Amino acid sequence: MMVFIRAWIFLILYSARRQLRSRKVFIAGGLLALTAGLVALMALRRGMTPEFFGEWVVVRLFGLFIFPLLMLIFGAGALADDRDEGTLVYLITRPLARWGIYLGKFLSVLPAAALFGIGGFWLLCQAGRLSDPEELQGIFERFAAAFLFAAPAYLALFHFFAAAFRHSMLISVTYVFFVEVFIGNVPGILKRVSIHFYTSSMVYEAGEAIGVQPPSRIIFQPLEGDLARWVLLGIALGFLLLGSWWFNGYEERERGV
Amino acid sequence: MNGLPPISVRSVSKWYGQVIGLCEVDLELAPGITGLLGPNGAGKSTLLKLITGQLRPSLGEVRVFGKPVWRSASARRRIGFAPEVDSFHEEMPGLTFVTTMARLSGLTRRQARRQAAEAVARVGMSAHAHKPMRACSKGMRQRIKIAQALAHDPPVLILDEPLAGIDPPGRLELLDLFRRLRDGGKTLVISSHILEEIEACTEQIVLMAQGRVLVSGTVRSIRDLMDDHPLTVRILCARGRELARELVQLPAVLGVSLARGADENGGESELTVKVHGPEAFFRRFPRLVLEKGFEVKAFEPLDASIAAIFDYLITGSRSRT
Amino acid sequence: MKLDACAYRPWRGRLRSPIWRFWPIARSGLSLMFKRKIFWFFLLIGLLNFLFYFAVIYTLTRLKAEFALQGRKLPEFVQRFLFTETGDSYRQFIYAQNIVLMLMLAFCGALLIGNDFRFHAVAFYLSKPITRLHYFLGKLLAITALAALITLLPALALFIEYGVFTDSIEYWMDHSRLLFAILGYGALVSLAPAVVLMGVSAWFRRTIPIIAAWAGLFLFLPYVGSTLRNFFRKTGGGDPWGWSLLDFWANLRWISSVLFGAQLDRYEERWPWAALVVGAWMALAVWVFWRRVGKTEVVL
Repeated sequence: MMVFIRAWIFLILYSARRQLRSRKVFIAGGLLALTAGLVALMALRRGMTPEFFGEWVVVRLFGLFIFPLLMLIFGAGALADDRDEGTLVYLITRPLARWGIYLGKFLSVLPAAALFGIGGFWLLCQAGRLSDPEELQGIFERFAAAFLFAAPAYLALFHFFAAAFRHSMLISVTYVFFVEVFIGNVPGILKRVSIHFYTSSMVYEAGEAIGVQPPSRIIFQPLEGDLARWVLLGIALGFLLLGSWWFNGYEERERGV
Repeated sequence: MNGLPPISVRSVSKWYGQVIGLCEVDLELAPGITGLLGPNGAGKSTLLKLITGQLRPSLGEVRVFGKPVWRSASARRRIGFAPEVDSFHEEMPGLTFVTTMARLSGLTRRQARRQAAEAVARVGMSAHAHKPMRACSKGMRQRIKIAQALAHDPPVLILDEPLAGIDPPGRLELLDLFRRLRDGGKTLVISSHILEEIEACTEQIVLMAQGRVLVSGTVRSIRDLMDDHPLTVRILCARGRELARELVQLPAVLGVSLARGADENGGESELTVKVHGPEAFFRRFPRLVLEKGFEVKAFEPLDASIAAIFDYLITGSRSRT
Repeated sequence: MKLDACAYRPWRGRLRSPIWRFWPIARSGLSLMFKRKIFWFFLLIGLLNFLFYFAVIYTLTRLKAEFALQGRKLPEFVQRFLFTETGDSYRQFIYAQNIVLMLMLAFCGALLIGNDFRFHAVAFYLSKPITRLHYFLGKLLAITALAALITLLPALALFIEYGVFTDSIEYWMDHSRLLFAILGYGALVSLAPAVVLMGVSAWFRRTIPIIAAWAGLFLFLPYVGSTLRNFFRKTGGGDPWGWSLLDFWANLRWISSVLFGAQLDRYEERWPWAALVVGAWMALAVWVFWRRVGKTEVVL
């Protein structure tokens, strides 16, 4: 048993190291640097109010676009990298259960996702505070929880895509655009299929005290923060279980894009 | 390992949608080297993927030391697999790659380092062990693939086209390594398209075609089974015309040809004899030689090599379908 | 043994001019894409919008005829509905395809170019008697043709449809400029991203970085542009339209104002800047592609 646990722990550690050394880090870093520069520019030129920061930077720029894209880069890449390189064969012929590989790969992306997702958000908050640090005092602590809960949900979803589809990256981008960006902003309850809706609900609840509100409560109709938290946890757990079950029957057939 | 066969394939079929990859395969492989031969599309890769637990059998079961390999991680612990596909973590040095694979097999850091270094040395890659994979030649990459299969010291080694891309001296080295591994009690399954490679290291072969195992066993035993296939024998002796006359009297002999110009100056002649039913011929021929006092310098079946058997069986299997 | 005896025969057909050497590359690229299910999926999504517009045109023309019979005019809001016979409608249709086009091209880039670099297939091409230019043109033609399948061709089909549902050929005669505008904008929307895609794919090579960079370029930059533009408009007054130059699609749309002669777009006078930005992106992509192909080792 020790042999298998040792192999599994090593899988997590070595995969995490590979994630942090991959070219994706440059893409994610570039994306964050550009966004932080953008926020800094806005802050320095015109100043930054908590309302504007909450709605434009936290909900729209970071929550709707940057954060899902960062999670996609790491979440879909954990398994897809090995599939893409053709090295998955070395993993599945080792003494590791398939579900163990799936879970291990999921855990291995958490450090990179936390570094770029949560760390990236911290960076944006610092950039926003450049003009007047007092104005956005405690802004990171206020909203970080929403992204902490959203991260596993996004990662589990994209990780599942990577296990289920050969062109997982493309499917994931399609998902981000059509479901998160498009459906996530239509009126009615359809938007509840998007993860962004629950993240935004948490953000709006946390930001209520500083005046961060949805542009129209009638159209957006946010959930209570607690409920949104549970839904995000449910999504993460649900997709992890579904993916583990799915990957348990994974057969290595052929390579190719 | 408690007398259990290293590899046991029981009534295994595998199909991909409507396409049959493997059909009703039964095999039991003992320790030693087994050569897996067959043309492209014969089902060799499917069989190897089933043995290494990459594919789940549609029907039947594959066991390694008694454990079903698809479900059992501990069965996979006993397998070392060198895939045909040329994929690596390109930025990693060879030794690091092998060490990583050893650790993924459950070895401790110290064990993995030691055994990986040993494995790399065994395949003759010590001098290039720190070269990134992307800078390695095809032959070096092939050796690293074999090293990663060896690193955790598994009792079963599955090597898919292990000698592809390796230069002739390297081939000899690796064939020697395979023989040493066999002598150390390991079970090796080597798939190859190059018949001479297999012939050079094993007598035990499995011939596949069209998703089926045509035949398995030693080269000689397979040859013996093929009584309906004429065998050609080359005989070098003095008094060749006389021997030819005697040979055509034998019921097992279909025809004899004598090299032109031989015998005329009292030298040796070369006879090529076509035989039907080799077993009977091999029983009768020594008696004939002793009774008539022929001096035979060489006696050599010309087409008992794997190549001849392979050609014959594959052609036969095609004409039967 | 003579070669003839081995069933070898010299080529007895007519060889085409060397300039056509890009054609087999384009053709094989197209056939490769058509064999992929996911390509058909994107094509289908791209054509959903076309079907919607097709149905709207049909309904509008029927309504128009019904109302004419009753001696009434269509209500103003219907006439100004999503799709009418004006140039702006066709332009809007082509513009609306940009997301599906972006996704489809991401796949094309990874498959047709990224894979060539990754699996060293470029060397196979260049070991034939073709130059970098043939390779570039062949791949570009394949990608442009695929892009045209969901932009240029459906827009042309809509133009034809509109004419067919009228009583004479007057619609086509009166709006002949639209035909050229559709051809021009359709070709631009198909060609310009295809050129940029070639640079991105040649640079990143592997599927995941290609798609990430591509999405960043065509989703992130427009988003940044619109955020900055909105921010400065709200906080400083005026319209800092320059930020929208970050949006590749908006640039193409601005350029198309010239082709359509549309007056509806408030920013049409800014098309030279847009053309400059698009040209710069394309030049950069060609440079990257050229350098990457130049680094390919061909051992003859």
